[in-house]
Amino acid sequence: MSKLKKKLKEIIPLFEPNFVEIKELRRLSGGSSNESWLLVLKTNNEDRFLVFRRTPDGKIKDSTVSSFIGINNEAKIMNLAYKHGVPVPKIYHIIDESYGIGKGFFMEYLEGLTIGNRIVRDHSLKDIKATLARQCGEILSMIHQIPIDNLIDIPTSTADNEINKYEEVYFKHDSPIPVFDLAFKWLRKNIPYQDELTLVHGDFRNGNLIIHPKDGISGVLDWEIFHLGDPYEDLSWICVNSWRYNNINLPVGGFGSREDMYIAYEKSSGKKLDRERAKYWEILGTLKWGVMCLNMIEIYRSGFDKSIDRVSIGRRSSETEIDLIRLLLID
Amino acid sequence: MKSEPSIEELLQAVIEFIENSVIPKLEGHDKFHAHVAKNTLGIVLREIMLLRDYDEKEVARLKNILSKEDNIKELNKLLSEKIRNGEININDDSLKDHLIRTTMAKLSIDQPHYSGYLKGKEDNYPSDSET
Repeated sequence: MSKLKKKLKEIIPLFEPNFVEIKELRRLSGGSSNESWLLVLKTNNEDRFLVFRRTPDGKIKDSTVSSFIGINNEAKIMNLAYKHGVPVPKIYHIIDESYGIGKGFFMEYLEGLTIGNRIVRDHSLKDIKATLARQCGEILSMIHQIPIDNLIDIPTSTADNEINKYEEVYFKHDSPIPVFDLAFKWLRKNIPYQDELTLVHGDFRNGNLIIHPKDGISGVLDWEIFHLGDPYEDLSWICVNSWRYNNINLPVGGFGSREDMYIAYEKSSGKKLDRERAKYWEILGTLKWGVMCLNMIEIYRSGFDKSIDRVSIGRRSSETEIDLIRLLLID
Repeated sequence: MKSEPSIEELLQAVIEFIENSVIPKLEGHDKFHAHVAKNTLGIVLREIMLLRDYDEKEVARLKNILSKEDNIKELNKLLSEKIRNGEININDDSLKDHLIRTTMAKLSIDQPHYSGYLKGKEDNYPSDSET
């Protein structure tokens, strides 16, 4: 029996008193930083499905890839979002590194599709697809209304912080991409006035949403880079062309229209959205993904992850160049 | 020296092997990685066939914009600097033409099926690509 399985058998009875044995333990695809595992438990009642999420390879260190809040804080914020009615998996139990299988947490398994490409093309979703953009607007408005006064130790990152952070990564990569320089220049010149800070999910996009064929969005995943910031960051990240999975004419995740999302958000929050500001953040989001692709090359070279998909994502950086050109020079 | 079969033929044979004999036998994570491997060799193949011509045209444009002789990396570095410090206006027409052509060329190697690239072709962006 693997060490992971053995340790899990020790931990599970702490929150599932009817636990009998582990029927299945399988690594779920996706998640380039933290790992997710599906767990099927035999219990004295019926079988129970869970997801165990932990630091990569069970190392103590939090992922160096994108996390800056730590995996246990991710569980805490998901708990908070759950209490405020946001569709997220319920958190059952959080573990620290003392078990030797990394830090992590156990959460509810929600049924549905998560792979962006399939969500855009799968026929079983054709009835629900038209409502997804509206649901995105409603969910984002809920996330952005979560009171932040009692949150401590949460990083704040507004447009200028984001620009500085990603410019540093771009400079470190040390290979000039003039389109990126042009985008950085434009973004600095047009930084919006930061009038309000809200909780920001930080990675709200097609690929991090669980889509149920009947109910639509049943869960929002991957909260590991949540922070305080500009709510438009979330509204625009999901519109970045890379998350439309080649369905360029449906800007919201490749499944819906911007206006459907905006109108639902406005109705639910009572706030009027500024479309120009949304475009600003879409440009910033596009550039961010381009720089993240470059960073994948660094992660490969560092030896942290020598996989073929890690290194080849580096060549996806050019997709953001053509998108930036369209947004900045053509439209 | 010119050895046969050509590097393009060798790569094509490996790509077809992965596609027809390897991918159908794999599952899950391995299948995904085999797909990535196949696509990665596609990038290599296209770069071998297209890059030299693209680079020549890119260098010629850069020399024209910057009025300077140098290699492609140094010229790009200089262009980046001039964009940053405002010496070149980001609305300049020859800069715009250059950036669009260079980016369209990159995409025709990196991801010729990407929606943003296909839209560029559909909307007749200036391009050095013949396909």
